[in-house]
Amino acid sequence: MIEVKNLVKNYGKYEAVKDISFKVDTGEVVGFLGPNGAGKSTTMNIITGYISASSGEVSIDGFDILKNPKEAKRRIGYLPEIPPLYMDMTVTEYLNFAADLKGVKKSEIKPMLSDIMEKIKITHVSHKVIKNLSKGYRQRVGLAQALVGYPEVLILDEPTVGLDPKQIIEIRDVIKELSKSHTIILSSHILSEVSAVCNRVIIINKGRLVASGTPDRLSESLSQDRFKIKVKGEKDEILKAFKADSAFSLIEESETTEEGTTDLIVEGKAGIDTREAVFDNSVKNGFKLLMIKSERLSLEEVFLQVTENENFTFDDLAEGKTESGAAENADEAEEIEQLLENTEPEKDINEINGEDNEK
Amino acid sequence: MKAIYKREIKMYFSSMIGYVFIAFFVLITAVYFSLQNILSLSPEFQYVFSSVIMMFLILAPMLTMRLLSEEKKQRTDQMLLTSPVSIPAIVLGKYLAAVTVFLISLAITGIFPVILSFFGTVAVAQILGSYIGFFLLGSAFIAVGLWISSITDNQIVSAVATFVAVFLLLMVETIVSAASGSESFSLMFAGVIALLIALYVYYNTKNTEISITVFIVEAAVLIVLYFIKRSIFTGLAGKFAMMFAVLTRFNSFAMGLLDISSVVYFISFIGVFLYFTVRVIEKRRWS
Repeated sequence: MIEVKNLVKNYGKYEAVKDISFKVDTGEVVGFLGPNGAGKSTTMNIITGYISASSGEVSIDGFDILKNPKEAKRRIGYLPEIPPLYMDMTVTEYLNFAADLKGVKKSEIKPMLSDIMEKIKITHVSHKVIKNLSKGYRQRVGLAQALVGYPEVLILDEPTVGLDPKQIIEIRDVIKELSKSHTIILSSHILSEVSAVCNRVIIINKGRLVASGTPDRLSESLSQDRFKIKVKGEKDEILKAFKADSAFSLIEESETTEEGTTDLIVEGKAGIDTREAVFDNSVKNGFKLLMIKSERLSLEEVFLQVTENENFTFDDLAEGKTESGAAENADEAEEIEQLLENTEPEKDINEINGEDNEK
Repeated sequence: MKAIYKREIKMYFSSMIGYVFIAFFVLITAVYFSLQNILSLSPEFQYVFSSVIMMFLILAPMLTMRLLSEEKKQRTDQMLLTSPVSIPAIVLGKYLAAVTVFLISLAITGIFPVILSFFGTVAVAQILGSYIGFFLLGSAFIAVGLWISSITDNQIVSAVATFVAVFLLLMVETIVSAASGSESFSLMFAGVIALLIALYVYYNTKNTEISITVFIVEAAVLIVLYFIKRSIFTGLAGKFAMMFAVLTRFNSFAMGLLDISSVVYFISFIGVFLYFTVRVIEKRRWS
């Protein structure tokens, strides 16, 4: 459906996008992930034909965006980072203009607009002037504009940025609903959003595509054979006992929430089942083992790992081992999902940005 | 194109600009009509237009300052450029909307010669001619204004720059006759043009060596020409500047001549500036 080949975009000497290629099939919902300035918006602007690439090709449903712009653009609905709203028009006027612009037949405009407004839940503000709308509603009107003409492809650039949590959930629900009948690319730097909505994630950093895969697979393939354990007893004693054991290649302290217990993150040496080693060690030293839990990387950690590591390439992931076992456990998957929901991605992102700026 | 045109027309009349424009235009014309025709008992309406030309200084920026600059500022150009409408269609839609507003005001002033015709004999050919000429002149200024508004994303800058551009266009004849060219003046002028060409090359290629080479070659050619065949520099600057003498063209209309070459001149003038506008927008996508 969407094919991007060797996309390069230079701004003078600065390379904003460096040789990005990917394909999106019909019906897929793909999340673009990356810190600010990674090239997400630039890539989207190129796909939609707003700006032109320095080199490389983009085709939508087989139509090249440069050679056949009309056909290609007809198939795309685009919500840019800042919704392109005419502040002094009413919502209805604005959407009518969008329909005119996209060449919707006169007879179809009215039912189409009322259907879209119903879907996005903006019918009750349809007679308001856009500049009087709140940010959440403006975002919705922007989304409605992208839907006008029922394009097959939706490209949404940070659709939930700047919205309050309730609005974010609402917009996300709308996107989920839309994903049933559209091919969608959406960009975000909020990881929980991507993992909630998308069935594939593309991570971009510094203009390069660094990883691609389902949210689950991304975290799975990057996680090591690492476990979090909870042992009853004094920290020093337990740490000493585990460090003395040659079966472990990694032993880290972890925050403990329960009094009188010690949490550790351990990883066994190659060829050793970490769980067995933990059990053996506990028995040997008479520790009461309270928990063993697989430490699968959350999408967030994948993101950090991938974007911080300069040399990390897509190949590393492709080769990534897909170990089954404890991680497949349904309960655990749920737990990870909760973890994803509860964490504060913003903070981590800011840290990354800070580092980016320093460089 | 139709969608853009419709929206712009709606904008003009929902934002006061259209009404203010028409009111201003008709008022000024009415004042001159009263002074030159009613009070001095003259049926020669065609001279009113020659008198009110100066109001384009304000009217042209008023119509065009927002057209493209505001799209860029509000980021709504993203919507236009990603919709299945070509850039020439966008530019043309906007241009025609501005010209339509101008045409409406011009049509309203049509009442003045009609009034005159009740009381005396009016020179129909001359009045019609001056209407056509005035319309073409105004349309040319609007094209210049549209081009300028595509360059900047600030309405005020666009308005001031359009004011200056219209002023220069109106002053071409005066400037040329004042600074009638000695050959060395023309050489300097050609040098400036050469420099501009070199800068344009640099702007497009971002290659310093090529640009400097281009300029040196141009300068060498000019200097050699200056010593070998000085006569071609006689009045060169003036000739060049007269290419922009829109007023001279207009005056032939006011005399009742429907000079085809002048019509073609204005249409090409408009075409060139609309083409420039398209190029500016296109260029931004590539940079």
